[in-house]
Amino acid sequence: MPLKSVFRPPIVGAFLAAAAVATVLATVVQTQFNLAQITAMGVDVPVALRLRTTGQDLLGFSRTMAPIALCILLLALPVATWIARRHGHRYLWCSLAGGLGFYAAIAAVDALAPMPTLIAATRGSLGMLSMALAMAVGGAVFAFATRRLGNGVAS
Amino acid sequence: MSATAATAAPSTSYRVETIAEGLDRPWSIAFLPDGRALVSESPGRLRLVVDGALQPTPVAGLPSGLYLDKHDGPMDIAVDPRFNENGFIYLSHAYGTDAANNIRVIRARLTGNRVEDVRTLFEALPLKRTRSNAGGRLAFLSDETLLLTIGDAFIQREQAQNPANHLGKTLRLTRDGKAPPDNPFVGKAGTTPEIYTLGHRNAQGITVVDGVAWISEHGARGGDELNRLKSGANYGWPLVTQGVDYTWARVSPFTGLPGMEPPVVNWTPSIAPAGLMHYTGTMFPAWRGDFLVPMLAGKRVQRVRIGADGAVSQEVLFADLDARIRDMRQAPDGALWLLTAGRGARLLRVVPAAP
Repeated sequence: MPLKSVFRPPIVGAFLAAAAVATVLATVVQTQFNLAQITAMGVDVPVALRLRTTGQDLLGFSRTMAPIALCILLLALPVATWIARRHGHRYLWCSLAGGLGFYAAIAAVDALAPMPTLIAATRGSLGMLSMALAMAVGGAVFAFATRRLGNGVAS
Repeated sequence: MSATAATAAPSTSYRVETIAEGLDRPWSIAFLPDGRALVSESPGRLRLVVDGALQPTPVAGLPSGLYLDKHDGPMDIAVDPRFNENGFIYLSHAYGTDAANNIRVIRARLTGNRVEDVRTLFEALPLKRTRSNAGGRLAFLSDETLLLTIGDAFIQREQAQNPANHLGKTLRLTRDGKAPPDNPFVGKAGTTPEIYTLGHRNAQGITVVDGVAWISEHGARGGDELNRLKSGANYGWPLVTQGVDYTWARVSPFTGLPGMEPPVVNWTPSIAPAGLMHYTGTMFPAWRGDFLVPMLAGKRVQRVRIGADGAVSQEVLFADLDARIRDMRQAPDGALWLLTAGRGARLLRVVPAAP
């Protein structure tokens, strides 16, 4: 599609909303997995401390998560939209773009970065799946926000 | 106690001499009672330094195929307190494969420029699928038991709290690689008898002062520590840390917990402590009794003074070298020997500047 149709304000807004939702959800999810490891070692984490830690991660870990979410969605959503124009199921494809994009991104980063795992919460398959689902929700937000736009964005 | 060192003119002027250049990823310096020194290189080589000159031929007799081929070949070197009687040296190195490895300790008898009677004393478990946070430093306590640091393997940080394996621990071994009967967990169900302390991330510095072991250890983003070891104590990682993960994620909500030993010094932001020594020489009287902590990322040495009241004062040294520093030891004459990191590394001798 022509570039200027991609960078219309509603699409940019939808994209930023998707990235923001994905970042917040994925951050909250990863905090709970890290805290689960703490409680599994026999130390209680009271609700207030859980909330505070989640807040700290929303301020801190989001610095890592937001660029990851932006890059994944920037690469994957155009592909998902292109497929949806031909085959429909826009929500499905946009969600898959976020979720599978996260899997691919983490696999690539873990293979290339000096440390064996960038995000501790993705060490287990349940943590990886949960964060991928958060990214999928971000993709679905984009599909929802662009549902009435033309020029090939809508199905 | 958290402290950030101010950068200022060094408290003592010094001069740096180059003993050797072109070393391949060296890891450790160890002085023998007769004044010779050993330097380990990662491709599985030991080099002797005699009368201040690096010997061109590596020490012979080390078995080939002992070492993994990327780094962490021979890592640390410890010299037996009774070396003059038995000639024993001890080496830690990574064993296994990139997909399944940990640290092994071997013992050998050094005779001239060769080793004999090489035997495996101890192999840390479990085998892990990463080379990160391996630990691997060795030091003899005054009771002639040998301490070995083992890291948390990065991806298994919670294991540092699990007394059933060696990850994230310091271990105490006999000359033969066994657990001494007075180790703190001997005879306790579900524990590993070699454990001396637990709750460590990656200790790459160890020294013994008046019979007490001290370690420097890497945190993640912040939370680097200088710890005074007490038999059986838990140093908290990853339940307790004053740093965060590399991603800025909280590793734990706790910076302290009952039953967990706090660090004597916490370095946040990180200094990446690669070693640890305690200066007792006469060449630099102003530094007597101080800890010296060589740094990799920081490209300098942190001088740490712990006062009688526990107050910590610090100073940055050797930033002018602009080199990642892997190890640092006190020579018998009181000079400081520094080993830079990586390929083409240098062995340096630091002495007071001429008056």
